Amino acid sequence: MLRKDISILELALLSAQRSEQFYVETKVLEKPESADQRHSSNSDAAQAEQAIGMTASDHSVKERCTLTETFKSVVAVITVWLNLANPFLFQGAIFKRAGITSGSAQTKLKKAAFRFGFIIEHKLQVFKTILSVWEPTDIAYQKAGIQKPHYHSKGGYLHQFVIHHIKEWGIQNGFVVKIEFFLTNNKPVDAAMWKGETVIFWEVVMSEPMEKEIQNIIKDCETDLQPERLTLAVKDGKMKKKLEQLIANDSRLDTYRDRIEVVLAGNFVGKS
Amino acid sequence: MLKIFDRKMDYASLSVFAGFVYWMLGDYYTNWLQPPPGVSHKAWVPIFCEIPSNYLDIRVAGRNLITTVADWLCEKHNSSVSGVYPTLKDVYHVIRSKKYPAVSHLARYQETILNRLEGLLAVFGDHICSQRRLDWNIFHNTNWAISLYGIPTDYQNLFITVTTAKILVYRMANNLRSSGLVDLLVFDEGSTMFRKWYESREGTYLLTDYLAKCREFGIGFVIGTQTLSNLADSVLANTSIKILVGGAGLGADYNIFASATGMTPEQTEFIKRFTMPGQAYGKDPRYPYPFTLEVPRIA
Repeated sequence: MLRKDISILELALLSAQRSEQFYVETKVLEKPESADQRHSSNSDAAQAEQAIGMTASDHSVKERCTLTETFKSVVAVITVWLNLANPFLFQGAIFKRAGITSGSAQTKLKKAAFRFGFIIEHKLQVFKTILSVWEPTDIAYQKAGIQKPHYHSKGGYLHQFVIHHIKEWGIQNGFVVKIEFFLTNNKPVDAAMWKGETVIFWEVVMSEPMEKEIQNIIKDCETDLQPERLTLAVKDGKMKKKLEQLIANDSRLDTYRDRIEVVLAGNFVGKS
Repeated sequence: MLKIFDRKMDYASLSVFAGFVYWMLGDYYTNWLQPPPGVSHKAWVPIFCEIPSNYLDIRVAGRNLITTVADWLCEKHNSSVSGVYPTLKDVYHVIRSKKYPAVSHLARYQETILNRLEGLLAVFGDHICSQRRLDWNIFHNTNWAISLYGIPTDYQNLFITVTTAKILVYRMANNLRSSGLVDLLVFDEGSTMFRKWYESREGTYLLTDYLAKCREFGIGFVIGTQTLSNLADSVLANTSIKILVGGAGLGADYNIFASATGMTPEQTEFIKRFTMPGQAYGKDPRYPYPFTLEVPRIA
């Protein structure tokens, strides 16, 4: 029988679940276009000098050649990386994909990438290790010859990086995953996952102040959807400890505390 | 396959059927500039660009600017090979970056187009500029309804026309002709999209044009309205089965129905006198006479 009184929440869930079948891709990232241009070697030298704020007269011929070669190598690495279907990789994986295995070469290229303004570095804790996440700058996209991609989720690059891997993790574990899912109280949750009757919410916490997260947690938990678990993915152990303390000390969370867990976001990043 | 464009969530209860997809706009992602399968961007882009002119007050010269830029972007990125098409956002950014002399015609077109695109993107955002790959086979071969609740009526009409155009162009380009009904498109509150004056204004009103072309390609329409007297003539001319539900508001509605279905004066008088709720009058061209319908009262 038709039910005219179907709730808006139920509709939103059914729409989110059933509409997934229409889409071929499941990635957070949307790459708008492929590489379409390369630069001549002459312009490489000029661009490298311009990038680090020097002119040709500042260098000897040998230095100029070395700078050009380094610039070319960095552009090659950046191009390989940004053209991958999934560029959300740790630094080591980027070098591996680009075929750079030597440690000294990696150090040299990383320094050069910073110098040319191609990347910004973020740190993410994975179990007990701190790993580097590179954020490509607009210059990097320009040099790789592709447009900056669009994302389905809000937040900075590190937020995108983490939410992408959380989504992959959810799909691999049989969940239907929606990024930026709007709850009935108009509060978007970073990721909502469900499998049968089980509903899990994810919030990605990459920046201070963490006090603002408490209000988010309350809004997430008091929704009609009643998540079985609310997982807060944080950047490192220090943030984890601080957030756990904030949650433990806030009496407004008494009824929800057993459903909340704080985890290291890096632990959910795939190894691919 | 049933495709319903739902303006006020009247069809939400269809969600109870497991195979039916009731789509909230927030879950719908597409790229309006991406042509349907089998259609080149050269063919699709001009067709698409003609549609906003019906709803967003864009003149021919202005729409040609969108066509030129969209086409240029497709060529630049070799879209037909890579399968990745520019979006309206990309078009917006390119047009915005153009420098024209302030007093030139082109500067005026640029201003108009930027204004219209800003409005469009503010309403639909990423939902019409997405690079998510919509699987056309599933999209085309599934029964679905999409909720357009909460967006302005002109934009609702624009959305409906673009989606209808994609389905029609797909079937035309692939020569998918059919004597039977393949796709049934449901337009609720049809009076807002088939107004009489839409046909008399400058330019072609595309939705009535599609209505005339669709039958050959197995596409049918259910158009519901509460003010028949306000409906464009071509809708009455291009639809076969007509049903008037009892208790219609205006007396003129009965006369128009009678005139459109070829009723005699006696039959017209009959339907005017018997207007019980739950009763309806139908005319199917396959049957020589109009007939009455009655919806049984179910407690």
